[in-house]
Amino acid sequence: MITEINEMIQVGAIFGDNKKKLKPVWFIWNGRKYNIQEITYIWTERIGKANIHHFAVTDSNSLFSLSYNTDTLVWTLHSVETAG
Amino acid sequence: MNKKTIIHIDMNAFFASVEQQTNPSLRGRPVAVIGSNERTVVTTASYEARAYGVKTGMTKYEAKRLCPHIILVPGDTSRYTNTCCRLVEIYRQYTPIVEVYSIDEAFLDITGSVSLFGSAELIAKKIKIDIHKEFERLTCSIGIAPNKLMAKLASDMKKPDGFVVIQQEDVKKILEDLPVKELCGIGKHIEKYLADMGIKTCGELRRASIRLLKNKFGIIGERLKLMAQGIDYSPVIPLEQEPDAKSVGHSMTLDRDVSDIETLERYILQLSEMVGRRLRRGGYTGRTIALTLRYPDFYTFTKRSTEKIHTSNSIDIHIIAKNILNTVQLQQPVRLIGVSISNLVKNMIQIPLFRTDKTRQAATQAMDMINDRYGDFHITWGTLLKRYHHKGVISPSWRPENIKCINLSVQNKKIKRQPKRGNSST
Repeated sequence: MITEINEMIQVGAIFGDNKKKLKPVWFIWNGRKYNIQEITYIWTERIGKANIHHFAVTDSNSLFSLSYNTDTLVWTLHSVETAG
Repeated sequence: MNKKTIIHIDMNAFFASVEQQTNPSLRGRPVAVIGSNERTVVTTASYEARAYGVKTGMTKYEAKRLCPHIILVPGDTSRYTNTCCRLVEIYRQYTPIVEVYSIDEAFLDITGSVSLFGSAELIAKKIKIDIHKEFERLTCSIGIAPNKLMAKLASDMKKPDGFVVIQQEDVKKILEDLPVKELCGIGKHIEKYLADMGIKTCGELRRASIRLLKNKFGIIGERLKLMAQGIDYSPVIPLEQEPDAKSVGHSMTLDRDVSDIETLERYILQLSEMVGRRLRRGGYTGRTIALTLRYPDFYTFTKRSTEKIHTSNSIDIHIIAKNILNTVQLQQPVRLIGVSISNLVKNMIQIPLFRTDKTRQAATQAMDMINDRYGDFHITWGTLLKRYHHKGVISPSWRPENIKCINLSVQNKKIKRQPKRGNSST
């Protein structure tokens, strides 16, 4: 089941990680810290002048859709998909 | 002189593969990527779903009937288009002559690159490795041949994850018993006309009288004869050399059939703004505006109006398209509506003479600058605040750059993904 969230979140990320350039490692949502086990997909879209880097990530339990706006420097949690 | 060598790359079950890569719970399961509309069809099915007979173009209900446990996933066009751009960057490491045939297919002319990398087969293998490194689960079928026609045929021969080479000396043997419809460019209608002439295979087409073919098909008859011999002189055309656009248009299939004229006019305004934006971005103006309507029974018609003056102004386009609508007596509610403009000219500068025209031009430029900065429809007409959130379908003419690029920013998700930003309106 997919739940749309669309909230700004805090993310711990590594810049310059080999070829990936930007790699989220953990994030905090609703007071809880989530450690990212796998980045399953990365893609970029352009909205106006801003580049939005999207990351589909999993903590082994749920699938999260995050994005980083290079213009505003804001991370956003867009959705959560849980089993069932 | 190097012999001509063309590669055709066809990503396997592209959209579905991207979704399965993105979401681990979809891997190994029957998946169909669909549009966001209620009235949507399957755009791609995973190989697991294809085993049940699920095909592109089926309604989601048909797909569910064939495979009750199929997982229907709404497509994400920005993900697929960005993936395509990244794939093209991989191809360009091996040759600058890359033609993006569609979002999941490309032709590469590696005639000049073979000596740099060793062999055509090595280039193809390296491309597969590069794709795997970048995307893990995405696979492609690659065909290598002396021309585009045969390269595409080669890639079609083994799916998924195929690799087929057709040498010049094998062309005649391969084509002898091949049904004509297997050749790219021969569709259902030509297949039927050929069948009526007793021609079902490429071998039979090769032996057919050129005079008979020309009588039936005109100039295309000559081309059909060449195709049946595996001959294709068409070059691989890289993006930078693609000819200028002949028309620019947008259409949308509505969630529900509409007969209310005011609602249709609002859709026309939205489509006119989308068309106008693309024209202005590409430096085009046009003077033939066309309105396309489709009824629920799929009866489709287009009416055109050619003006004296070229324009790229969205309101001009809207007024003309609206006037066309007023000349139509709707027989049924409308299922699909489209606006397009043709008779295009590039870089024509029109200097407004009157103050109202100058003001309008300045307002359009200001709106364009704001929307360029913050995204399409960030500032728009008040009427369009409740506009149709068109998810965006990737047109066959989509390309990574230039005017043929479909503007994908008119999407529901994009509005939601900008928290704490309000839309302005004029």
